[in-house]
Amino acid sequence: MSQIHVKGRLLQILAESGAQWDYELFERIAREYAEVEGEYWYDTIRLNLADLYSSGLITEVDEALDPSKSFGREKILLRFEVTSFGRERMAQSDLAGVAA
Amino acid sequence: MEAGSVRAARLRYRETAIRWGFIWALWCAILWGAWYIPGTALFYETPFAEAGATTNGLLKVAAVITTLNAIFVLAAMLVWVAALGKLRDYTRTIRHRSASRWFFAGAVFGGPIAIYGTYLAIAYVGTAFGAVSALLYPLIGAALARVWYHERITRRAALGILIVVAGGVFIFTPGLIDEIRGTGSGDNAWLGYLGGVMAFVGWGIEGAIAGRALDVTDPDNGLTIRFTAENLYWLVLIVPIASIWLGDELWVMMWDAITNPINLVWLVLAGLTFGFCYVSWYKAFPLIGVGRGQAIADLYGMFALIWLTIFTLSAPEWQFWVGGAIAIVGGFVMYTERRDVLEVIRAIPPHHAEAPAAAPSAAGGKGGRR
Repeated sequence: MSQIHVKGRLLQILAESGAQWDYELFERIAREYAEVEGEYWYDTIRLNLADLYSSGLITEVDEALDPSKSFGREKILLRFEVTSFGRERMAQSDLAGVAA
Repeated sequence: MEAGSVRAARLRYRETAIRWGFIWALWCAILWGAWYIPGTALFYETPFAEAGATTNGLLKVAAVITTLNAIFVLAAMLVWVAALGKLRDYTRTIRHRSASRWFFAGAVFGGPIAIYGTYLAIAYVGTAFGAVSALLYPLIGAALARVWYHERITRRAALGILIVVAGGVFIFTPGLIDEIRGTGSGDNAWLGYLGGVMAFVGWGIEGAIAGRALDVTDPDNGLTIRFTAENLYWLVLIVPIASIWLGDELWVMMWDAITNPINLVWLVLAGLTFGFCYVSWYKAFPLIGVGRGQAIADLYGMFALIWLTIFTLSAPEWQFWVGGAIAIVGGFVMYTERRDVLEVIRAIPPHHAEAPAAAPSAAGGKGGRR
């Protein structure tokens, strides 16, 4: 099975591992995807998460400020959880239960 | 850490996300309008000007220009995706067939149907008509997004849509009345009007499909897949099938076009404006929804008129200005909606409304899913 794209993998991690902070998701994606590293990709992943949140696939369960977790810049850190609508979309998109 | 500063930072973050949704849609409008300059100029260059002198010739010219446009948009988008470091993710997204198939479907409606329809409108009625003929497309896109995946189309949004439609109808009316009276702008003007309908229905459907596909995919990758699909349709299906009847005429015209240097200038400009207009459109959808994204992008009518006036120094008929202005007011009514409506753009159906597994933190003060 070939590797799934990053946005799909973000949903998978949230579905498999429960609620995650955005920096935790970034660290996990960075370990799994060779090209993913540094602040640029951290921001790119935050953009993907903003899309997923606006579309109702994930929801925020916590928030914090800790610049040490966001490359020294003060950014709102968000902890996300997949919604049941998100799980439904995953099932419809063959993302549920598929390993990276 | 104070809960207040966290909450303020979160509000700033959400406001930025919504604002960027509107900024992307507005960029789409500006670039979409700008695209009509190179998109129109091509009709006046060799070999298109000569080949387009007859009705059948015009249909062939529109097919060749649409094909070349798709090729140059894809080239621009591949450079864009590479610059973003997303090429590998683009190939991963293509392989995720249950997601990428939506972009292949969207490309049918947005490409051969909508873009070709726009060229028919330009060729058989005129450039300004071509620019505004698709203004009705948010009506289709918003309705489909509402019915299909419960996008929040509030009363205010619906009112905005109706105003947009009124503006669009106003633009269509003079030519249609002339057409009905038999004094239209030519024997084949109906083909231009059919093209206008193809444009707004095609782009409305494509937007709704894109909104669905972008639930699980990245917009930059998704849009590039959509143009990969359109290139396949033209180069592997439509042009080869048309060649059964036409021989190698379309291929020869394509070759003649790209060996005329001025056409390459227009095509590069068309590829850049159309490509970045389209990618802005796709980036707006997940953030503010298909209905609103399309409505703001609808301001392209105004920008097209401005660009056309600047470059041709000849203003369109007054109906275009008044109708365009009404449609734009409709767009504004939609996008000045309250922010709390805009934060999550889906009305999650009742069977999804059970409480989330983990309660939101006190610092957040949020009511979970909306």
